[in-house]
Amino acid sequence: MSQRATELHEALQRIWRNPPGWRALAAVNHGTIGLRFIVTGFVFFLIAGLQAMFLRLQLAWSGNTVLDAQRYNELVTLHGSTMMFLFAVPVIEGFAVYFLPKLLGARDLPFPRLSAYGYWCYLFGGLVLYASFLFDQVPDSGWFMYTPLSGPEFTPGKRADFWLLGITLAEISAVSAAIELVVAILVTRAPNMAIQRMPLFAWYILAMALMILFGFPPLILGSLLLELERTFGFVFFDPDRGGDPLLWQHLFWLFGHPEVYIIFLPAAGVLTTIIPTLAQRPMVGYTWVVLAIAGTAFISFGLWVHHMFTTGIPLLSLSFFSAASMAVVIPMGIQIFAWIGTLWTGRPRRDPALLYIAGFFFIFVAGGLTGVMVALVPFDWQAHDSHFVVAHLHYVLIGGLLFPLLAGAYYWLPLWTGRMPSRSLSRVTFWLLFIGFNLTFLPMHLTGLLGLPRRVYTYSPALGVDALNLVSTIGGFLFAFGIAAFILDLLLAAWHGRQAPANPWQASTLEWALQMPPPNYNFASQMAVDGREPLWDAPKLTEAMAQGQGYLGCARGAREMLGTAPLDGRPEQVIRLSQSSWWPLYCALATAAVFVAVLADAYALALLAVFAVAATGLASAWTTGDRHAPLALDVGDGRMLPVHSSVRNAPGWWGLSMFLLADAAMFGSLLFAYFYLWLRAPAWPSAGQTLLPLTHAGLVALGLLAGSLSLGDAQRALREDATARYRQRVRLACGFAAVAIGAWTASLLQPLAAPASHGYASVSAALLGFAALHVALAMLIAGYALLRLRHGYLSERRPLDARLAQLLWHYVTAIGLVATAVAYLFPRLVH
Amino acid sequence: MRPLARLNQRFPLTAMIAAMLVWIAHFTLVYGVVGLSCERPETLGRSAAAGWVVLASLAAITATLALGVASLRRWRREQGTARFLAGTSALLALLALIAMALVLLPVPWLPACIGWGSHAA
Repeated sequence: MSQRATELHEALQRIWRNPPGWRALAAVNHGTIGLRFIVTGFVFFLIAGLQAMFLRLQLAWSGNTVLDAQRYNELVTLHGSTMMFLFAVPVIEGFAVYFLPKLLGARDLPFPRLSAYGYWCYLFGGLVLYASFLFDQVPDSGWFMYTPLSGPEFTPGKRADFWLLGITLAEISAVSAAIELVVAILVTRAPNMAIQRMPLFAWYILAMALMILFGFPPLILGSLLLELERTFGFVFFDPDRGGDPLLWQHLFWLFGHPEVYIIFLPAAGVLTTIIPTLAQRPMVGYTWVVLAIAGTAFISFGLWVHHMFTTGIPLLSLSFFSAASMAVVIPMGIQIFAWIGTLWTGRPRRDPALLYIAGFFFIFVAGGLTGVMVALVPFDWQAHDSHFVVAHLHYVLIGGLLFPLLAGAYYWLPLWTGRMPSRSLSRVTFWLLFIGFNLTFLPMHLTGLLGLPRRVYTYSPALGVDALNLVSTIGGFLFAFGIAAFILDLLLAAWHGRQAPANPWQASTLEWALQMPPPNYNFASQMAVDGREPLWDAPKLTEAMAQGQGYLGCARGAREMLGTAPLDGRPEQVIRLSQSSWWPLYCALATAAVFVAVLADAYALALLAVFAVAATGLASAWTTGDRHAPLALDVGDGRMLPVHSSVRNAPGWWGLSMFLLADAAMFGSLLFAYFYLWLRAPAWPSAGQTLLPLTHAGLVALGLLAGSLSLGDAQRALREDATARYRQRVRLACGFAAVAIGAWTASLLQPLAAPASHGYASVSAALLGFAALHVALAMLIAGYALLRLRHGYLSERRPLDARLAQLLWHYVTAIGLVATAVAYLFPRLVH
Repeated sequence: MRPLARLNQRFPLTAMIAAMLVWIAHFTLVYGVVGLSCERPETLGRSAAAGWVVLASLAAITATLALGVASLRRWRREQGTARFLAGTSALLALLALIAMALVLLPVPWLPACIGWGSHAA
């Protein structure tokens, strides 16, 4: 490396390094945060695995007394919840957060503080859930928390609240990571990395992240509604007062089924990255695989009712979901055949990862086939809630997630540690896992068909499944030994493994152009990419980037990264990223305080904590800007590019747009709840309830529309550099918005004064409250923009804050008008 | 400019997934229509459910066919990113068509509202 290159690397290291010692808690770099997600997720995996061992011991033979019914229910609930919410999703997010920028040829993710905030929310959410042990209030209603079992009548105390609040807190991290990942894929790819050249891993992560944005909000909403019912007596799921317990199942599975693909798709992305390397040829059928990814992502949202085939939904409706469950097999099959085709037409090397990929094929395809079986309504009626389903879901999830992740761990071990994995130990580990897994779950197909119900702590010897259950238990412990061997194998390789040569697997993707282990800034410069297999197409790319050739091969004191156009990857901006900061941790602590205060029934404290969240969140946003930053920067070769705050495709704009997509999904779920309860109620409003006054609706509409118009004019004023008019119009808009909030509040105080009386009142109040909170948020952000204007962060040439305030405002106006039309006008239509 | 061409130009990624958006709209509509017909027969009538499903499906299939054909034509004449987007769009239209046909298939044989409300009993 030349002297100049060495100095460049040292300078970049100084700019991008994490704080030392305990202050590393303030780190925001994607590599650090990604590894934290992966390690924490793996710890939760071990905890949930330990719970599974207790469950298997209890079921080893009939009448066993290792666990009583209560403890069994608690452990079965925590096992499922931990695996799904605290292991599967966070670990795949960790993989995405860690690897995505490296595969895209970027230096970091676009919102490092958001990543850090998400990680802390995840950790605190997990801790809240497990704190239930301290109070002997461990959740026991199953990982799906069906009502009415989880409602106030059948689960008094705090068991269900620990689950609802802890899991919702952890889900914040999923949504924040999803926003981060979508924006990273759209605007931070390497120069010239047009969308059709993007690594397939990025397509998988894009699909996963968008699915999280649409899939998680229904469950977040459901959890909030159930918490409102449990804590304040609102009615959403109690049929005696105009609610419906099936509403919970709909909201849960609207999340729950896409969740399976949210977990599987990134794991498939890992496979799609590894398989071409092992085969030493490009992936077969790139466009077909993109089709399969997009098709799976969409169709997976049409499957949720196949978890509810036995709930009494009309037969024709069931057939729709059965049809969609069959249709999703097409894109899944395309992926499987594309992988097989790639291996078939290449010359696969027998590297450790290949064994795990073979294991994936065997287990996942078997799980997929039993999935087709339970997608058939008549078969599902027989197998529902039996161990057959337990077998199916573990074949899908362990086959579809764990084996690809283990393959990924062996594949990327040299990148993490600079050491090679051991071929012999990895083989032993594989066979322990593979045999252990199949011994555990294969017999469950049979025990299920023989009538063994799931989630029940014991069974009758008359069922004749003792021997099969014992085999399952032995297999479970063999599998646990396999996991222990995997950990040992990885640790030994990391400490004593052979030193890895550069690009040890001769891969084509950009992460192998990095030093091993990679530095925080990833690449010393960002080079143009002209094909799908960058390191195969241009073998000298690694050296050129290490020498600092190409874009941004300089160190100016700030963390800088290139921003590119979403479609063709044309360089169009310089993104200046934030340094390490404590604000994400403070904001996550405040967020956790809100949830803990609600759990402790300390509502005044919860309200205070909400203010603390707003304050720390805004403080974090405030300190990311730089009012003295140049408007344009030299990115190399004398080419000047604008800094992100003045660019149309600014990451912040895309980030807010993605947040609003998730928020719209939550609003849509609330509308679904409204119409569902209406559909199931004999009268709307019910007897004794009154219609909401039209005068209030008129005032709301007036306030919202006038506010939006005023803010639109404010934006024009900013473009004309008329700052006084901008201020005046923003204040006017806030005044109009206050009128809308006032009218909603009047409705909430008068006709809806007793929301706990009936489902109609509860869901109407929820709708108006949702809209009012959003308008208040829009006012807060508009006020923030005014403050930024006063302090010189916002101007005609740096209009980003104002653009964000405007986007939020118009969105809030739209949902406010829809909420008002539904709550005030719809009951009149059907009355 | 025609609406489809305008969509392709202004929102190319949305245009790429247009057929799947039609599939989602169709799926939501038929599910909603059957629920409404069965639970609130005074609105659409129980016997009308199947008719609505067929009508909605035919409309959605026609729209998807049109999208697919237009994408195929674009795929033939475009290059680079536009060709890739058009090709993916055409394939997604094919998938959406199959998925919608599968939804339509059982309608002649299955009475709409059998099974409805058994959970409330």
